[in-house]
Amino acid sequence: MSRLEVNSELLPARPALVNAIELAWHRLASPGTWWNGAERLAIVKQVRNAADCDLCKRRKESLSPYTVTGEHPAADGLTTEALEAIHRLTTDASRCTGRWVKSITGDQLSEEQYVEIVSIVATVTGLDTLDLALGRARRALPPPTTGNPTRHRPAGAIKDLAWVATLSPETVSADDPDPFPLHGSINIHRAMSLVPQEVINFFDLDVELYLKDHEIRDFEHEFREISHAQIELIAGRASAINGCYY
Amino acid sequence: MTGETVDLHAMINGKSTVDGVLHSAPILRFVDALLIDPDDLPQARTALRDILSDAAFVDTCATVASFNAVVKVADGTGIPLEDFKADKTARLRADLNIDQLREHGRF
Repeated sequence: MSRLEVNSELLPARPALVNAIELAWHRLASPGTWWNGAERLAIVKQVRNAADCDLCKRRKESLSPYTVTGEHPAADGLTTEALEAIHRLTTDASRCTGRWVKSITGDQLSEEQYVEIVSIVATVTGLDTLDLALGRARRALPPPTTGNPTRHRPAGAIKDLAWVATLSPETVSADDPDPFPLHGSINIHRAMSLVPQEVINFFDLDVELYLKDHEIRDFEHEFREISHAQIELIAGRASAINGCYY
Repeated sequence: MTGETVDLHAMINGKSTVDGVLHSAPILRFVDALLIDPDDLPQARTALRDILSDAAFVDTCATVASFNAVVKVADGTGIPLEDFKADKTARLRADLNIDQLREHGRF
């Protein structure tokens, strides 16, 4: 067993979980596919700021977030469209719509940049939720790693599944990062495949927080220190609280 | 875990306990405290740690973290439920009003 330090207490944890957490933080600070390391950390910072955003609070309380106008606090290096994406995904994701995604993507925020934002928001939400659950302070942001994003768009990505273009195992090409053999290819794995490296980044963490795809329905074995039934109880309640249909 | 009966309404309706799931009450209290009732979080965490091993507590925290994160991926991209899942769970989803969540954001 490895250890997670929580307020000077060392809690036993699976080595794979501890490694996945460290790798996720390293990746958040590193150049991605469409954002560089500093930009990715700026997105992380906005995820953390969104909880205190007045516009987000007013929208969350409104019957429809689309009737409340205003601006999120400005942030260096991020466009209005990027801020809108980060804040909405962080505070009110269940009321995202295809029309909203279409309205904020374009010249100022490409669809590829949007998908990478989805991954960053999801990743830091997972990491910060874990720390909050454990009872330890949010991790200070690491320094960014220099370098340029790869800007690789998969040639086979098409818009036939989701609000954004996606890949399937059949449309991955040799020069694309291929997340499907490792993590699976159901819709949740395809969701961010316009930026396939982000599928790998997010699910490398998520399978250690939750379960690997083949472990989920293997009811003959337990893979965690809590049972399948307890895990799915948590999963169902958390998804319901978040208003997630999937 | 096979062949057991579980009342899934607890997941949707905020019931405080689920027959057939060990320690369901303190687990559900902890999830609720973490996601929607922060004032109760310290007490809920203590109550959970009183009954779970340290390693089980870490795995509980990790599971909540996963499902507070992965919902962003589904909701932010608009992926549909797979047909095989939709067919298998149609009655369950209707009973629990899960499908209404899909329509929730369409104003």
